[in-house]
Amino acid sequence: MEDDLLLETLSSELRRGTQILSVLSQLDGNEYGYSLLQKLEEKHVAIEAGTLYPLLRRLETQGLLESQWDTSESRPRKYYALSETGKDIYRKLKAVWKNIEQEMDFLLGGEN
Amino acid sequence: MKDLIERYIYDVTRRLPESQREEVSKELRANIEDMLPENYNIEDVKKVLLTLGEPRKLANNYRQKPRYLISPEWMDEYLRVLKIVAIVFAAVSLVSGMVEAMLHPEATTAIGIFAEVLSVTIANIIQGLVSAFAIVTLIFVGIEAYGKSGKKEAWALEKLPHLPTVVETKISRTGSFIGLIFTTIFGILFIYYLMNHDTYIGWYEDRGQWTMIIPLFNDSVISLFIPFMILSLVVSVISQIVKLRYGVWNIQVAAVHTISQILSVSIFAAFIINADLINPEIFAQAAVLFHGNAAEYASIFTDAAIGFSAFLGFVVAIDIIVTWVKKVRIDKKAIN
Repeated sequence: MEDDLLLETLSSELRRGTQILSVLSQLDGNEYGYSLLQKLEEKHVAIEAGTLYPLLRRLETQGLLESQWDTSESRPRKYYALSETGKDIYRKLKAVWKNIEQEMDFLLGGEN
Repeated sequence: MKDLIERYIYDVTRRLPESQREEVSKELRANIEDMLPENYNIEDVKKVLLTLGEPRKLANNYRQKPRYLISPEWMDEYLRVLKIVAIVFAAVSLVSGMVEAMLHPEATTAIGIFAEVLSVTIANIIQGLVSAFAIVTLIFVGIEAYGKSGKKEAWALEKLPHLPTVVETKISRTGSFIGLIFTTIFGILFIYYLMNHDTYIGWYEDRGQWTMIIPLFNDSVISLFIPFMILSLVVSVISQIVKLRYGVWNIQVAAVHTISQILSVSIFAAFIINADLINPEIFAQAAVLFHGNAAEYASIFTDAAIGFSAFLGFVVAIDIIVTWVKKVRIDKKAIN
């Protein structure tokens, strides 16, 4: 029971590190909060709404995302897209990830 | 239905800085509406809000910087300083509270004065602890704020503390054991004789057999001090037991030792300095016998009592200082 809880904490910690990269990867076009959430869900990436929405705002203040309000439809929506800096950082982060992937493969490969 | 959504949004945004509120509430409202199906009902709203989770947590996610009074980085130092300052403040409040209450009691009965001194002292200690907590916390909050402004000195190898030469000073178990036995036996005997002072302690004369004609002490003063004596004995016994139990000087042992010493000396000093302690008839009797002056004898006794108390206070002060400085070894460099 306690081990289960510990495992859950550890794996969510591990996942949290990949959250930003997951979000950046799905922002090639304009997305609003909920559409992005669904897009991630379709690809079986679990992220909570209460985590995603604040994260988008934070990435915007950090300059990785740009946003604009669309008020033309009945429901106003805030669309997010990668900024130039965001694109650049996303490309570099992806390279870092590939690196991690290789390292971990190398480390864990022998254990099966 | 709308009301529930607005209440939820309000509960999130009220926790955020003014400048963010409008934008976050607009965005949150749009997101909630997106999550709701067409022609939604109240149950749908509830489901969406529950998915978003507790407003406090959501607000915390929106907040850009973590907020705390004392950061984890400073927590160790904070707790250590807090402990020391709390002990010092508690000791000072203990003595000042007790002395003040004993010198100017408002109650008139012995048990009333005892209760008064006890409650004033406890109130004083609590006040002292609260002030210690407030002062230390404020200082650390200041350090935190100042530290964030960027003037942080870089860590360097030279800053590593030196290894303490002796890790802990042992307390002799035999010593504590003998101390415990003597404290208990003599304490109980002392209190027993005080309680029965009018049978045992006084002016004796040979009238065929030795009989006591004048008791030495004033009965009302004795009955006032008996509860304090018992309290002091109990605390001393506890202090010996604590020493026996730990076997080394650490903060807890030193704290108990300090409290016990201060308590015993203050009570004993207040006892002998008390102007009404000695039955005035004793001085009168002595004046008759030695052809002296009763008032003079009384003042000599009081002076001697004050001198003796001062001496005891001095000895105890040195003992406590030695205990803290040498035996417990508070690492002064670590505090700064």
